[in-house]
Amino acid sequence: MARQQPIELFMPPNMLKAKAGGGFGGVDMNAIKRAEAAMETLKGDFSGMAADGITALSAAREAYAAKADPGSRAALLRTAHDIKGQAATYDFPLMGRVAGSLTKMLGEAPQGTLLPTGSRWR
Amino acid sequence: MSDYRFERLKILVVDDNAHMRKLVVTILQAFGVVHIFEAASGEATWESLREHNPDIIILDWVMEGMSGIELMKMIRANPASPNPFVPVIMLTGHTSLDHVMQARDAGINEFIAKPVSVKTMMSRLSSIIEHPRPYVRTTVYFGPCRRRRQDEHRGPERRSAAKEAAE
Repeated sequence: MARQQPIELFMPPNMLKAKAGGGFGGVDMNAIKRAEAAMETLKGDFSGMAADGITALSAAREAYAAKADPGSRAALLRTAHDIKGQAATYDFPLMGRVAGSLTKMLGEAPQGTLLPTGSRWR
Repeated sequence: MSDYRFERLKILVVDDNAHMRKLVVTILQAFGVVHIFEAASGEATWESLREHNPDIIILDWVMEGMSGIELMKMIRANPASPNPFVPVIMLTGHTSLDHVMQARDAGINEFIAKPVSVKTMMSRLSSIIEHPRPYVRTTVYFGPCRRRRQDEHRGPERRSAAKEAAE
């Protein structure tokens, strides 16, 4: 019996190519160098970013310790996940690993699992 | 040199983390992108889509409220979507294959796993411009074709329609 599953496949016009042009196959190395230099400059701001992240993580931990529910757990996970991504991007691997482990625990432990909170973290 | 006219493109950066938005915006500006819009939530993204009609969206996955995946599905499938075809690059700290497949099934065009790298960002932008994928509409999915490779099938034909065509 033939399956009745309509599938429509189509190619929209490439408006991006029409707008952005280019396409000689290579990469604009000047643009890459400019962006890498700009990123290096931002690395100087990482201590501020890290401080903001740790403040947010502490607040999320306090909220979870006060009331452990799916909402407070999700907020804690989001904060740890943000720190993980930023630390890896700005070359702070240890911080990235710690935040990554916390993200993994919060993401994988079944809901309702008793997670370490409050004084045990201090 | 690729010499893209990035100044002609409008790019929307969606992330609830202001530091990460600043990083992506800084990279895009260095590439020459001038028209950059920012949104910190799903609701703000929807509004920006209506108002600015961006050419490309760079989307975070983990956000407070509506997640990037939920937003992606809404952009593709909601009848009120201002542009269901808009190319989306998902930028996320999620790196597992399962997450990549979830993002693909939600309708993203490209995927960048953190740490963010300038070369990867350029490569994904270039890929969207140079190698757009066809779009697929089925009863359960709308978005870029999820097949990356077109492998020739070497075994016996098992699909009824193709069998009938061959006979």
